[in-house]
Amino acid sequence: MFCRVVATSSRYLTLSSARNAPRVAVVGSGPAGLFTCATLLRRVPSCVIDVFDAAPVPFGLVRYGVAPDHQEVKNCIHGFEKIFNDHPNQANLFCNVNIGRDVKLQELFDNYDAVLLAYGAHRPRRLKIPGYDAKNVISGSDFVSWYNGVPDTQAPKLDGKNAVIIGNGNVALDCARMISSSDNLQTTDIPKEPLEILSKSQLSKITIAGRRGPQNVSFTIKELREQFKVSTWSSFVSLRDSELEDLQKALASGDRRKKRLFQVMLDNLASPAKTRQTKECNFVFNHVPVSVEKNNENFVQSVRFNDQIAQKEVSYPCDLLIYSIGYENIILDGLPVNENGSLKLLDECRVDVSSAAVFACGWCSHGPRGVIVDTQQQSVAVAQRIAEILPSNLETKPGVSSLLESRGIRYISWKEWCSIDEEERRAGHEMGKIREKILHFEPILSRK
Amino acid sequence: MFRLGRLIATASTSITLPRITSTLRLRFRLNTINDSTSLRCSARSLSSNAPKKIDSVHFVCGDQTFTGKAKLGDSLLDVIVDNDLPLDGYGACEGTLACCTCHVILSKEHFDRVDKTNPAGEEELDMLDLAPELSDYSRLGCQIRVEKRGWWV
Ligand SMILES: Cc1cc2nc3c(=O)[nH]c(=O)nc-3n(C[C@H](O)[C@H](O)[C@H](O)COP(=O)(O)OP(=O)(O)OC[C@H]3O[C@@H](n4cnc5c(N)ncnc54)[C@H](O)[C@@H]3O)c2cc1C
Ligand code: FES
Repeated sequence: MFCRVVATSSRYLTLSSARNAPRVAVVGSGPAGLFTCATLLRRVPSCVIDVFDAAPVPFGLVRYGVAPDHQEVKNCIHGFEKIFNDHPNQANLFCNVNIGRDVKLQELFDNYDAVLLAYGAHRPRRLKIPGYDAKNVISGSDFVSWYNGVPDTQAPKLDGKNAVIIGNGNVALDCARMISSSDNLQTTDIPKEPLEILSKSQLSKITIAGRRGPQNVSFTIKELREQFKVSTWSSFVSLRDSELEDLQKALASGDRRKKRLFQVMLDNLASPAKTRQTKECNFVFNHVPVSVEKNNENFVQSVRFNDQIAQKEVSYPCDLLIYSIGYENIILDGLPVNENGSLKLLDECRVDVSSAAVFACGWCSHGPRGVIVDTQQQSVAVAQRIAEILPSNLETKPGVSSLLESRGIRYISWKEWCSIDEEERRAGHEMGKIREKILHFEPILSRK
Repeated sequence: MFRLGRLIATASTSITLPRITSTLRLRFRLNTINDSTSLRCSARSLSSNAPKKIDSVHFVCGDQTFTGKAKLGDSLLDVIVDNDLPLDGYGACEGTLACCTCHVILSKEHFDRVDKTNPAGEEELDMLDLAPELSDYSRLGCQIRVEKRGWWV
């Protein structure tokens, strides 16, 4: 009896504190959204947070971007799980809810004390050169989505010999590494379909082409080194004299990071010793893409570049063309835009909306740059800012769960994600892998 | 203006301290956000003329200080996790050298001492190159341990 009274009264306490709690909406369950949640729950222990994601499952690019051979990077998910598991009455997940389509932003503004935009920047910049619509021309982002098991992605054909990758960032490196080291993926969370296609790949030559010089790459050093460590492929950097000179000059004047990065490139210049394997991955620079040539079945056949050093056009045979030339800003309907076409901010994170307290964090706030550590650091600061403005004497804000109900929007909750997670791990375990991702969510979504 | 907390940590028993006060500073900074947003963490030992015991580690972040108890052999990351210090996201990859969120900036003195017995390897240096506020005395908190005979090893 006594126990019961205690239980009832503590339940009453939770409910009443929840009733007076500030309510925050978070758009996006990637690192930006969830790192911010973690800090916010510390700073404002009473707050209630509703996290929305358009994808059927949480964690953004940690699930659907980070390469399967980088499992350790995904350990940050353990921290994200804690948010929901430790605050079952405060942190709510609504996956499969597209903000803008299923719920309007204005509806979030009206129903929450603060709104955090953390919806990333997932739309790849398209390569708009003649012939870009040839078959087997794919953006790096789509290639990454495919091997990471994003629903409804199309498999590329890997039965030709030559791949060309345009771009000098980490996504280009991830794509090259997936093609050249599929042996390392067997036990990871890569789904079985892409794994099978990658393992049967006939590709034996990858050319990674940069539009600018070797001193302008935006690779990070760990990822670059990884490519040179792939033992079954010869990976090397091809520099002409003037490029070598440029790189050496940049190395002499660069900061520590640049120096170390450039040194890795210089240590891996093309040489007879570096080209012993029959499979090759070659880095070339100052190659501006000009056009894509197709065969009569409309498949890519070759790529023409303007070689800025030789000052002539060169053609590379190509059976698979991946281009990774950046991402476009995405501005959800109803958000202010600045003169550069990006989200209009009043300072580092406050969005220029007068009718509501709206903040932005992660790739949607500053474009697709930086890695998880950058997002994490920004999140801590943004959470602090949100904490400062959350009102203490509150009228109850209702959130939008009744709205979702009335519109019949079938969302996936944290609890449901936990059973999907368990199912994926179980299926993976049977196959000797970390997890086997579910690729088709219709059966789950049609269950109620 | 962003204001982040400060955190301080001190270490456990039987750790010999140098004669002078040592200060361990850990700093995090946001690339995209101005300087005042820096999260600084510093661990300050007890100052003394004689060998002393360290029983806690202080982390200073911005204007806040957090203290955690440390056992010998603990990494700075362990100290933060085991004490549930409110540094969310610190150590995101759980010490597997894959994230750099555990970046700390040591005082020169500390850095030199650690560097002698446990210099950063290639993998750690590669990760450190991602640190938003890389300094000459940067290390990863998951790679430095609280040890006997000189603090952080
Ligand atoms: C291919 C690739 C590999 C990477 N590898 C690494 C790595 O190894 N290590 C590392 O540190 N960093 C890596 N990064 C960088 C890292 O992924 C980013 O720094 C980080 O994910 C950015 O976080 P975010 O939350 O801003 O965006 P995201 O992770 O993209 O999260 C945004 C979320 O918002 C959701 N969303 C979008 N629109 C809507 C909408 N309208 N309504 C509701 N929800 C919406 C999306 O579904 C997504 O879940 C990689 C990035 C890419 C692209
Ligand atoms: S915890 Fe990730 S590198 Fe130290």
